[in-house]
Amino acid sequence: MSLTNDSAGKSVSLDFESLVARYYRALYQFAFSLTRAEADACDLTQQTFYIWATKGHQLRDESKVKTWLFTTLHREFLETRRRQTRFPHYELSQVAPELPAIAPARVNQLDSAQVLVALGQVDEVYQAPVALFYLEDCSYKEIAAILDVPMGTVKSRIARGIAQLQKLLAENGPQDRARKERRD
Amino acid sequence: MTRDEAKQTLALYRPGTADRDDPEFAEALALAQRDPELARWLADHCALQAAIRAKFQQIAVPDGLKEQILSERKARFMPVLQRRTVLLAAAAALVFLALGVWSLYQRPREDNSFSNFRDWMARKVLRGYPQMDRETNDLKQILQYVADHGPRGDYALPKPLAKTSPTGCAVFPWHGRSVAMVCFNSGKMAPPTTPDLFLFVISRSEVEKPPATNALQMTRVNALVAASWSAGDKTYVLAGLGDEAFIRHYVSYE
Repeated sequence: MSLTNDSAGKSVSLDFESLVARYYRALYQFAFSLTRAEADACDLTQQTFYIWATKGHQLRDESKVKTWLFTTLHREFLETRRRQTRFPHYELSQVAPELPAIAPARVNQLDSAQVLVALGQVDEVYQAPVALFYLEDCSYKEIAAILDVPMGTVKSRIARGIAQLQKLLAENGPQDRARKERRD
Repeated sequence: MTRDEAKQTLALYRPGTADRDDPEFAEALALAQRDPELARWLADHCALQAAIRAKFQQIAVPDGLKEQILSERKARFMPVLQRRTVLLAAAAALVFLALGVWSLYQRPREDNSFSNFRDWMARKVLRGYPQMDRETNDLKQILQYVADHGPRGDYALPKPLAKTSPTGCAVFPWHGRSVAMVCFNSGKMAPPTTPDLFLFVISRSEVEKPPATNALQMTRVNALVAASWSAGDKTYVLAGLGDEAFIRHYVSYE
């Protein structure tokens, strides 16, 4: 068993069981926030650790285990979605600082499933950055590495994503909006 | 930094994380401490972010997922250390294989000469009573058996030998080549059922420098006398106890 430090300076064991114990929850939550399906999220999480078991030894910088795992999961997600379209690139300066007014109490009335439904209605390109923004204590540098995009792009996507998410939550709720969309 | 610029920066600020150590956030946070309106906006923002963040953190992880991952791994994966061990073992095996191949080429070539064949067969008799596949005194059956299982084709036995009582036969390999052995009892050197004449037959093309057709060679190999000759597509060696005249008697084709 070898020990290394993660980006937060915490000691991380590279032993497989220790890695699973440390990251499986966060990876599953990230996967679930992307797929919103338990089975798919389980598969993605398992597949991520499978890839680690087969290729993890190739990782030269052991301090990047966490980033490696999240990157792998995200790539696997994209692979399963067979996305071919390149995401548009927005710089932070292009993002309007307009965040909808929503009270924390309104959010507290929702459950996590409703928040994830709202996340699913956010533009797809913003979903992974927003999930990482809220889920794990990933620095922006780590999120950029996980998503393999420049830091400025990450920040702009997060800014736009959380704005869309809050707008959805500020409206009559994601389910109401979905009903409204079906009516339209 | 203006208030709007600070809001734009702090829109990405996550309370309770390492974001506060980021110089850009730190500058905006410092401004918020001096600007009451910005401070109120920041307090609302932090409360909202904490509320949404809590919802993400509440995503329930299925029971047993961890155990499932670990058990899958046990079933499907080898640990890295074990894989490295296997790779090392495979590398070592390759080295040994290469050494084996190398030593094979370094080893003296098999001596497939007729003289070696003859001496090897004679020593086989001297080493002990040869194991027989068939024990019978029916020469026709014996010749059928060796033709079926040993060197193919016709077996041409000298008349005196063909008239001698057979005791059995065997087929065995020599340097990857098939050899037939037919045992006889001359009635002069051993009890009736014990062989004392041993005829070894091999395809003529499978030994180097076989005797020429009808050119009888007589050789002593330790306590045995061996008569060797070739006929048709076969080469024959008759080995037995006794003197040269005794053996020569059985190999006359006349």
